[in-house]
Amino acid sequence: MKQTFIPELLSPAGGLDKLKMAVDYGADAVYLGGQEYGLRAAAENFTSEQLIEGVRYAHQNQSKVYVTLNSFFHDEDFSDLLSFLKFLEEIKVDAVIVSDIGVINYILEKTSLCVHLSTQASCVNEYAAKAYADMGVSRLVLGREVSLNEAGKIKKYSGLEIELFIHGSMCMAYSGQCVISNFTAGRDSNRGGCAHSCRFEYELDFEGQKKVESTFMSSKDLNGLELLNHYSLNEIDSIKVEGRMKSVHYVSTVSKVYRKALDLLDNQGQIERQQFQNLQSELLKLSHRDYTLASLIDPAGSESIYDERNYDPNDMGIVGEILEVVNQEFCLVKVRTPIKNLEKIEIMPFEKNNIVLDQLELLDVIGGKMERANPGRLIRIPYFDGLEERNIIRRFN
Amino acid sequence: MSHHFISYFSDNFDQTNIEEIILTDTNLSLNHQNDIVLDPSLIKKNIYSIEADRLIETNQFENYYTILKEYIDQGVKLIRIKDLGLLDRLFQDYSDEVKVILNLETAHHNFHSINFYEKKYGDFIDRFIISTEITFDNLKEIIQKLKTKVELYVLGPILLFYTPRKLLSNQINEEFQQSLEDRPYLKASGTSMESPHSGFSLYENQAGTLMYAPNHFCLLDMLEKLKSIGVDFFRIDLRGLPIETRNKIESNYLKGLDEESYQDFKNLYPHRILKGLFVVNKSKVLFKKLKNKTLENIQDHVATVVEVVKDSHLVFKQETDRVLKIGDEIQLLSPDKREKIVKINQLKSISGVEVDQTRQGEHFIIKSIPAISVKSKIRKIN
Repeated sequence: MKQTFIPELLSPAGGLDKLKMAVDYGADAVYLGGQEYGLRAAAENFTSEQLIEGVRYAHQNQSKVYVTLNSFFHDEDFSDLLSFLKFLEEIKVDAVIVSDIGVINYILEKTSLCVHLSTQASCVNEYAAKAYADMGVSRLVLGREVSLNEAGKIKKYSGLEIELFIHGSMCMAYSGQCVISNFTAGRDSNRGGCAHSCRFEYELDFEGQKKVESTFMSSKDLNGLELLNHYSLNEIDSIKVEGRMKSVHYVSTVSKVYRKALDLLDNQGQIERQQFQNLQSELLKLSHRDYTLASLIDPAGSESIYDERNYDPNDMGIVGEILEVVNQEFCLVKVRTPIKNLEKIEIMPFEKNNIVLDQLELLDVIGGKMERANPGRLIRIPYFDGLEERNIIRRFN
Repeated sequence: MSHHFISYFSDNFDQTNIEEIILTDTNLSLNHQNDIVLDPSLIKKNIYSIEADRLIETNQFENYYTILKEYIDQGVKLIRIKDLGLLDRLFQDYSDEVKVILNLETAHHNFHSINFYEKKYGDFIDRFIISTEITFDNLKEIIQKLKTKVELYVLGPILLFYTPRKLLSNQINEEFQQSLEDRPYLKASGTSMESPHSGFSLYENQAGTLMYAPNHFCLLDMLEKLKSIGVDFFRIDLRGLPIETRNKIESNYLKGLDEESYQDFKNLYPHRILKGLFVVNKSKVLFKKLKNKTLENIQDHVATVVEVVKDSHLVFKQETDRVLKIGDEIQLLSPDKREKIVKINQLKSISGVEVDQTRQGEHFIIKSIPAISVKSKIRKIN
């Protein structure tokens, strides 16, 4: 029997805590940005010291680290690039993710770093893929417009590793081709300053004959869980989760769900309906726009447009995370959203099934009773076998 | 001094500086508005270039390529492209027969990226279309290092956004849609409800949806300067303007504008004009303001504060092996740069037990300290 092809699970790491969570919850690899050259200027990102610690932690746990250098450079941006690249070489990051063709060649000429082509380069056909292969790129993060079937063809033609998004927010425009933010907000979206103007509501005037108010440029969020076996059949090397700006709740939950799905696929050759529904219900607990398969099967149609503005990125599902397991007596939890005494919560271990507590008695750090804990407070929760530092606590829905 | 202009129209071809006419095709071009009947005499003179400027997904590639080949078979020798895959395929199949005009207006803002194509494809590239996000001074430096000719966009609408998804037709009912279907595109004007911007032009066509800025781009007053640094070709896009305006511009304003004629031109031109990011590109300057100051990192710390309860206690996590002991002096630095130096007189484990020293990876409790907040860093003073 042919062995099932199992892709790498690649999760976002917006900061060191998120990197550790992604790794703990099962990511095979994480991607992150330094203080410069990435596309998430407002994200926490990594200092040099944090990069060293992040790579150490990931490698210690058999995960890989890819560093984004995926802004489109202006000549002035090259001045300090080489020293940063040498640093990345020295700390042994596993690859850099690059968009700019000039930067790709610069890196391949001057370093031994492995280069992955960023989705920002909008590589969407096999001939472009082959051109990148000839340059020395080792992996392509394909444009989000590419279907699974096309991705399989591109892999065969180019001989390169293929990485394809499976989950998260979507650019509506071809990535790297959008300059709305540059001209309306003075923030270069291709150097990390995207103002997300595509999410705004607009009044559309059809030549004076009809007016419509709509968020017509806003895409629904990608959720490719139901197509995981197609990723496998097309031998997609890496499934990518979007979201370096997203919460620890998102990073941990999505990483755990896709880890579990990949393991089921590996062990059983398929995912049973009930198992799929259980996993999907976990993803539904996250703050998200409506989900879409976007262009994974057919080109994205009108059903992929999120014609609403009421998306709330502030994730109220999470209560907090375990900071320390104290002598297997209790767990110290950092509260992220307000919680009242006797609320029903669930704790999400890294691998085991979630633990549900019907009524959590709120205790402060020194064991005093509380009626309510606000964000930033520390509380104690009971210890259960298998709980570890960085486990997520959330409301039970 | 005359200039080499490139336009989408041929109305006054003999009377203007226009030396190249851009053909668009509903199956090949991002923005196709009007069919032009090819004039055989102009084909012979190599006047036409065909705009095949879409990004092309694998499943559409062969069909797209077949349609493009029809233009090549008709004798069109100049192809305007953006997709690297199309460039590479044409280079394999037609390197002796056609030349490409490579559109690097997006995603290529530095010499290294432009030079890559020059090195790899050499003479197959007739010219580069350079981004107007590159400032004049930088453009000058780049052109000095290039052998290939350069084209610059100098007048017309600014393309902001391009998606293969159809975003307009689903906003209107079928009947209304049909009433607009005598053209190869649907058109609308957009006004942001959340920012002060209005007058975005939107088109939906076979390529998908395009969005243009409310203001138009104009460098007509800089033509001499641009020519002096080596810009050989100037592209204009007068589509969408009334024919009289178009004719006036073609006849009177393509020679370059002095101060007076620039003012006349601005009065004539139906849109507000700007130079975008061409003169000064400060789009990176704002980035620091996006950062949350509290996230700035303070180095050399041994512990971080994770909870503060005023007039009660402070909890910190011991992060390094430089442990803290009773009697140690510590410096606390808050995210907003406030500083306190205190001596540790009492130290408790998180279980509430009094201890003599901390342990790496664990949390400890001391008395709260005024002005010190969560995320403050703790340094050990000797």
